[in-house]
Amino acid sequence: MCGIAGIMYKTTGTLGATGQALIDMLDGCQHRGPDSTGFALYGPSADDRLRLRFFVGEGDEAGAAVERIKASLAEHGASIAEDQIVGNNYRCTVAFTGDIQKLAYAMEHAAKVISIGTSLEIVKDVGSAHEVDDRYSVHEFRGTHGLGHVRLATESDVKPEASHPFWATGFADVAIVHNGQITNYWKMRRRLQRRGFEFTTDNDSELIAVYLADKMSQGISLKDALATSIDDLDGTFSFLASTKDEIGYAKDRLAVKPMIMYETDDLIAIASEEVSLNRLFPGQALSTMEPPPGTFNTWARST
Amino acid sequence: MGTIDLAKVPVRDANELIRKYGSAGENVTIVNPDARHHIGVGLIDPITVHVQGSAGYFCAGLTDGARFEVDNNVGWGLGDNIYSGSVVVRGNAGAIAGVGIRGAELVVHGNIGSRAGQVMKEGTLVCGGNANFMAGYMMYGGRIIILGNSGERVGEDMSGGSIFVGGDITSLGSDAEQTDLDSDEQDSILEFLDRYSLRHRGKFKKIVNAGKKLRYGTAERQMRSLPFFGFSGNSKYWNAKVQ
Repeated sequence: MCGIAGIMYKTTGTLGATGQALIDMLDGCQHRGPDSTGFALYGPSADDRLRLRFFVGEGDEAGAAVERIKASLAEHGASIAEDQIVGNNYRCTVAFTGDIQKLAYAMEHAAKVISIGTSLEIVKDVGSAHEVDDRYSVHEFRGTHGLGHVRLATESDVKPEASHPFWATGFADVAIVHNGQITNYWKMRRRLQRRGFEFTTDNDSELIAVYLADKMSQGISLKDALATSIDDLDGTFSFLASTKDEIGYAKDRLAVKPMIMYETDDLIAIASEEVSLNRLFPGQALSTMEPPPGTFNTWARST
Repeated sequence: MGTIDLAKVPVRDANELIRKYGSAGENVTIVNPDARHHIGVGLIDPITVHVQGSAGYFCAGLTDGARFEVDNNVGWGLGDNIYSGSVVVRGNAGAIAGVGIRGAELVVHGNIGSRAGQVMKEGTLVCGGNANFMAGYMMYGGRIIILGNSGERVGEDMSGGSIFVGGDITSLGSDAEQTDLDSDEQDSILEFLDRYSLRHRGKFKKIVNAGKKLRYGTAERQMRSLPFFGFSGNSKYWNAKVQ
């Protein structure tokens, strides 16, 4: 069992308190996943700059990892504009115009990459929503949209890199959060690996991110990629996916994993349980909608 | 009349308070429920609990004799294993509404999620809108009344009870079949709906177990005696064990 949450402020030009909103939503469903919490946060994009986050650990271990990262970035022609250590993360913004997939695979040899994107930053760690916020100041983040996840580990370790959201390794700005189990994970993973894709964990949810990003890199829209995912993925799943401009969901035909949404003119909010949606609107009786089994949809910010 | 504000009181403490009000015979109003789970679970006194908003999972579960009124939606597992009493939900209900109910009257004015009435044994579950797939999944008894459409595979592997559908039967589940509805049953349904201010025009379609699965011609040979516990209560739901 895990809990998922997503929010998008629809109107272009406005930045919402996505960090605080996701903390509240995840705190509301922390009972669904007490061991880890994570956030995929989208801010205004800078197309000539990439935001990178790495797990580097603490103390001497962190210092050594940062040195490896800096050397590897320099080797691949990425110049650091700004950087800092936050919690056990190294966070930097770089000027880079090369192949992001090649850069991402190369950087994995320097340190565990959490995310790379022009507008995406993933923050995730073991602990509750408030504990992760205490370490990474997620509440300060204002942005356009974001995803969140509370994890109850079932088939892979309780460690920061096995928690959600998952970045689609090699594909900028694509992230997912997932509640469920992908039972044809290894079969699908091997297919993608034969085509040169790399996986950084043994978590089945990482597959969804890479699967969607692969489709989108072929020119398929997020919406169409979500549609094919319902046929291609086996098992139980309710997941949310996001790109630089869009947010979307897919739900399997068995409908074993819950999902509920609330939409206004200004925002779309989706969560595992209504209790998370009510955290955004305390004291209100919301007119919510439960997506039917085997369905998908996407939302983009208005222009 | 007591009032409990769930923005201030944790649900576990609130449920203890509800039971205290129940012991004293006082009705309770729940404000700021905000879809929190387990509201009212375990209440065994015939009081009215009014939830002013949405309730979360397992609302009114394991209760006996109380009346619940929920102004908006409920999450999964409405009235789980409820014994007697009633629950009225003005909005929608999530999946497995009425799971394992042993009695009681559960009335959802809106739509209900998948597998409503799963393994229910007695009582009545009403859906004022449409049901999602597998309503009546493995039900043993009681009745489900759906005013809208049935959803796919209605009555999947049911072994007893009846499902009445006012709209379209999307598809029948395994070992379920449509059968004739007599006028007494139609009148009984309309009388029930009238008590809860629900209306329906037209004749209901009745679905029951077809009896083609899970039937064995020869009884299994008993290898040894089994120690059975007695039941001190007086309940029609208790099946006396026999060697």
